[in-house]
Amino acid sequence: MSELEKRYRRLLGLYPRDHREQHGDEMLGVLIADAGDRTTPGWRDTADLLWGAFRLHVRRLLAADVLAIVSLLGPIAVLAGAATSLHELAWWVQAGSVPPFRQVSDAPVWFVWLGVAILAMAGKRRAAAIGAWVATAGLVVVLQLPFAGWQWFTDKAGWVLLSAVTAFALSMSDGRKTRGWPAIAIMAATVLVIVGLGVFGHRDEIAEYAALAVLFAGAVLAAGIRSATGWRAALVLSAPVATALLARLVHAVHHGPINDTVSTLIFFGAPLVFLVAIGGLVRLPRRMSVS
Amino acid sequence: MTDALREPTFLILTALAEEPRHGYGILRDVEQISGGRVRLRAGTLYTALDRLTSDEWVVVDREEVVDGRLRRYYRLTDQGAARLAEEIERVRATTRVAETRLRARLIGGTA
Repeated sequence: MSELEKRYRRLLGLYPRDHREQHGDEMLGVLIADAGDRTTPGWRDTADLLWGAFRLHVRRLLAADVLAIVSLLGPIAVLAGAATSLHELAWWVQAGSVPPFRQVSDAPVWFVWLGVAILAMAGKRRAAAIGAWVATAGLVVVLQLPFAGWQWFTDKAGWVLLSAVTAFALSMSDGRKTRGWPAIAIMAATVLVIVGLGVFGHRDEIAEYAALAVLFAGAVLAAGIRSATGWRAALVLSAPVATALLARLVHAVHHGPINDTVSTLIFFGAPLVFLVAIGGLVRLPRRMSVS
Repeated sequence: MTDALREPTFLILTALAEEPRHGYGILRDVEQISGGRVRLRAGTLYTALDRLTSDEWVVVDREEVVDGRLRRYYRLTDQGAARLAEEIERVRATTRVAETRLRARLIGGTA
């Protein structure tokens, strides 16, 4: 095998698995035929292949079927982000008082998300999409409040990311029929368990990890374990898991404040790249046949 | 009203309008059709083919093995041909307006 072929194979290895299996050899033939006398891939070919791989990964992750599932289950999954607020509320109620606004400043956002979830289940997609964008903007505002305890560089970023992706899915999805009430019931039960762990196991490391595991398992079960589409939707719904694990890793190796741009790249960019890459590993059934 | 086709998509469909072609054949034909102005690369071509096959504008016609490598020929479907015809009509209508206005400008002698 020539050096040229080896390098092209390496680049083609970045393509989604189903595309690689279906077109890998064929593309290699075209690339070698087009290479002429070159012994290594040119930078234009390399850039073109990298861009093509990225676009195909994104296309698969944001396929209509994936968006349809996320638009139905995302508004419910997001509600798990209310766990900390509910813990605060429970603490103040137990103390016989009403929590000051600064302790539960994200509460209005969760009420909006509850409304969005109901609208999405009722099939009112346009209203749900508008509500989802309002709620996402609300979370971004909460992130700016110095007293809210929500910062870009914590695991909270995952809920903002999931909010934005869900709002996008509600706006873009064509409203096709998706997994129905059993999936909704599983996702709702998952959220209840996570909220329970958040309220009763607040600041308990085991409970926090358990909540992440429950979110991932619940998302996989609800979205559909038997299809590549289901797995991809589950990965999107598990965005807060990726961000939370990333936050733990960053805080383990870096102490002190992080620059806003860097933290945005780490906590929003990295999970997106991760989701795109992992989504591409999922095998899809062959779509194309020789006619 | 459907969106305008992007140039690479238009050229790929045009290349396939004549006869089924394999990937490398499409690259060469696109270069020829565009008078050497557009030189598609494999990454762009296969990203476009991924979309065109999922939209059912293009299907695989046949497969061959040449020098131990798979060669897949793609064919334009009736749906793809209709979309290409629609695009040609759209471009033609725009060109007609441009031509008329340019002629009027030349006759009127406006700067």
